[in-house]
Amino acid sequence: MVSRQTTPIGAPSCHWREHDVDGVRVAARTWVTDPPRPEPIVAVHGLVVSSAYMAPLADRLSDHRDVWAPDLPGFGASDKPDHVLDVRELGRALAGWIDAAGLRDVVLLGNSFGCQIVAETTLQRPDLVSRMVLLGPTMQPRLRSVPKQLRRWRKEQKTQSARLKALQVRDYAKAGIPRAITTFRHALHDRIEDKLPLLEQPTLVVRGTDDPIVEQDWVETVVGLLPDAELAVLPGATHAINHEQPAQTARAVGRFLHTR
Amino acid sequence: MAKKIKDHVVVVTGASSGIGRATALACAEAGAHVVVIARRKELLESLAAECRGKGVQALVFPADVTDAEAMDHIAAETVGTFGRLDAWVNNAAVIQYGRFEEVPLDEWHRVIEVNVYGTVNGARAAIPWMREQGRGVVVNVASVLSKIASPFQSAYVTSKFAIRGLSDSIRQELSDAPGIDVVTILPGAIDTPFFQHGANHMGLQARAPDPTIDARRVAAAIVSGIAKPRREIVVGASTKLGLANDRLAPGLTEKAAAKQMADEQFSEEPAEPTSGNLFEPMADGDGISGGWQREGKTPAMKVVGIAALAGAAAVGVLARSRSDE
Repeated sequence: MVSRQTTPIGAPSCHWREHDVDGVRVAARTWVTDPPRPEPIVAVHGLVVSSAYMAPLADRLSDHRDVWAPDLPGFGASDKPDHVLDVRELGRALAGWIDAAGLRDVVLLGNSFGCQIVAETTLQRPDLVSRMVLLGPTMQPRLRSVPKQLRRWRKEQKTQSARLKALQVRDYAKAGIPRAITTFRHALHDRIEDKLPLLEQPTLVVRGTDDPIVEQDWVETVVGLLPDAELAVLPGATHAINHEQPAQTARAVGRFLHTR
Repeated sequence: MAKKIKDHVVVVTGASSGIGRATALACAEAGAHVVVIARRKELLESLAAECRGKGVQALVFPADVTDAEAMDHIAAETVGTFGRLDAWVNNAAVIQYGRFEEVPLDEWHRVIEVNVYGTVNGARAAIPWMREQGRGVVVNVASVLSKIASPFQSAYVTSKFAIRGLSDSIRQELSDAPGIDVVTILPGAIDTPFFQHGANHMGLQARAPDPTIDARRVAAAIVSGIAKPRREIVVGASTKLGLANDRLAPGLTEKAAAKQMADEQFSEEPAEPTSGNLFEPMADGDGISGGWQREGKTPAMKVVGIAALAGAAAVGVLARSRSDE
């Protein structure tokens, strides 16, 4: 990851906040100014890490907007519900958390599996979401099988920095392996392609050219399925784009936020 | 080397023809994504299509490099689209031929505006983004005329000396940003439509002085400068010789260049006064080459002359290195 040498004047620093969502304590890393700026970004982590994974990008984006990066229930610093939530339940939990945090007109931004939760949340509660940003969205129907995903995932490991690997080990340990596997099964069965045509929010879809998990023709399909979407293909960027190429990603997202 | 700029994002000004067009194609060939700028939109579109055919992304921005706001906008659009800006090649240039005290002053100013302010605008648009990402290369296409002058093109020579000084000054400033480099390209006479595009008040048609160099060699030098930045890159054996002579005997070289250029940069054909492409782009001259390369026609006397100069240079260098010991 590229670390920032200087933080622009006026950009907020990161603080933890907690909210109660139907009896489950949900923790979030937040970059919020006082008074808060309109149209905050909600950054949703992928499988199975935590908001730590979104922090490098969130830090950059906080120059433009307030950023909230929750740990989904069961992961990171949030409480673990009594069972492992499926995509629908995670979507409901995220919408509940947005309500609990008092946020409106959010830009829902996800990476990888986080995009599936973004789509599900937007489907359930379109009133909360003004725009979407899908970074390396899964789950490509052609690759919807355990062996295919495992092979891709192992390729993807090779594109990861040591720092990201360390973060993953820590967050997998926090979530627990059984939860990881069950969540992965839920992700595999979730048909994002059926939901996308119903999501009318302006959307930016981003793919890194060195992403071994998400193929070019799939992101083009995603853009085609969404009623109002544009595609950015970032040269040399990988799958964990928000962690590994935060500056590059923030620039593309910044352009989308300012022009649309 | 080609691998080294794979996935880079390179902006090229003056990309519609000549060195700029060759550079965009060479970058695309090496796997870099290109952003092409010039005034002639159709030529940019055909260039972009050719680049895309090599499997890279290409953006087209019809603009005049003297428009600082447009350059800023292009830089912002480039990083917004690709998230990165690896190199900005300031290549756009125009020329005016004629006697210094006789040529129209507005044209003289315009040459400085395009060549110098164009470079200033490009560098100022690119460097803030490069500073943010901690890396990048600014390539300024200067000329052998950045070091050795030539008569009857005072505005051009002035602009090219200025570009070299500008490059050096920016490079000094950027010593606090070790990831950012400024590369000055010093080509000799290159076979491009540049000479036909010039404003001309000599009464004679302008031509490229022999021996001309293929523009694709300059493009290769620019790609190499992006992949492995260094201060200055001289293109062409005759250019290197000329510069060596200049270091050894600047006064003599100036006189020799004056005579050679007076003889060689104009043909015998008469020409009506023209502003060339200075204020409005010209329709013709849309390729890389300007049709100046004449195979096997380098005059024998010139070859002898070059060899003699080379000998003199070698002796001089030897003498100098001896005296350093």
